[in-house]
Amino acid sequence: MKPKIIKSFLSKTNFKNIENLVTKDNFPWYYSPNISGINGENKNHHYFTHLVFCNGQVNSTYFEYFKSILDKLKIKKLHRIKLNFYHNTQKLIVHHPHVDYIEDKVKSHKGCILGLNTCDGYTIIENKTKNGFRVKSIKNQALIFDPSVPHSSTSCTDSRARINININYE
Amino acid sequence: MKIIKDFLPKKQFKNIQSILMSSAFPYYYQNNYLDEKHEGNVLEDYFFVHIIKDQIDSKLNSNKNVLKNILDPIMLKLQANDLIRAKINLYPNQHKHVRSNWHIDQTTNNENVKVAIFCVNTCNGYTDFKTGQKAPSVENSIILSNANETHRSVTQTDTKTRINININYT
Repeated sequence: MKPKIIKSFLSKTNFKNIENLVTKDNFPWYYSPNISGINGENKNHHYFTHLVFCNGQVNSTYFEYFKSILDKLKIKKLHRIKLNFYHNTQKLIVHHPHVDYIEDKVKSHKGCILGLNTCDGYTIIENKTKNGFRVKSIKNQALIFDPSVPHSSTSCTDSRARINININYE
Repeated sequence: MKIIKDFLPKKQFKNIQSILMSSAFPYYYQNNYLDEKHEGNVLEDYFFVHIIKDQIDSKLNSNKNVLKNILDPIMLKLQANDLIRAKINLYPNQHKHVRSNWHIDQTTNNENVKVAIFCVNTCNGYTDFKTGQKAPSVENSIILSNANETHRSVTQTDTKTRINININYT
């Protein structure tokens, strides 16, 4: 499957609802010392997450806020919704490539990364080129791709944080 | 200012450390905590917090397990009578020492009001006192001062996070 970019993915109102929720100072984030799951990951690689849905179960009291995304993606089966928060770093950090697992297996499915803010961070999807396919972090822009293909995230340097939502689905 | 090393019994400390460094403990993103006099980049102005007891509304925000496993052992050892405010601070590695503003925790003439900073992990971040004293972040050590002693926090560069518990009490 070829990566696809959709600008202005959600309606302004639906996007604002999510943006307001996750940028509030009472929204819980969970520290993760590891991003790619690779042993011996660089000491600078870490982030915060909020798992909304996983293993067939709702994992967050805020699940309802994300239904507008699911409707838009016309999802048949939802595997996971995860919010990612990469804090600002002095120099841009490119994290190790990884693939997304479903029930502990690498299986072809669809992935969507929805940018919640615009910054100089990006997503790299490996392809035949040296630099891979790079997609900028743009507010309300969705990237649809095959997450069983190795891909990397980055931090950001021009904003306090890079925040996005990662949805795995069929 | 006074520092007590090995403040809690090892088992009790390890329990606190494993809870606060786990991916299951919620932290809340805060920005704009540095004032206009801050000389660094505005993008450095963030950290994460978990408020146990808020001073303004005197509400206990954390669940019973946090109080029982984290706050109670420290309060007991401090022989504290009354809790004014308690919060857990998590500073992500910003690859430079970011200094907060000089501040006092409480504006009071009551000499019974004390500040305790309990260090959850060891790193090269520290607490600076206006007197010139410097309290390093050493796991299971506690920094005790009067509430009117001017100090500031300094972030770390050698670990992914710096975590401490700030308690104002009598």
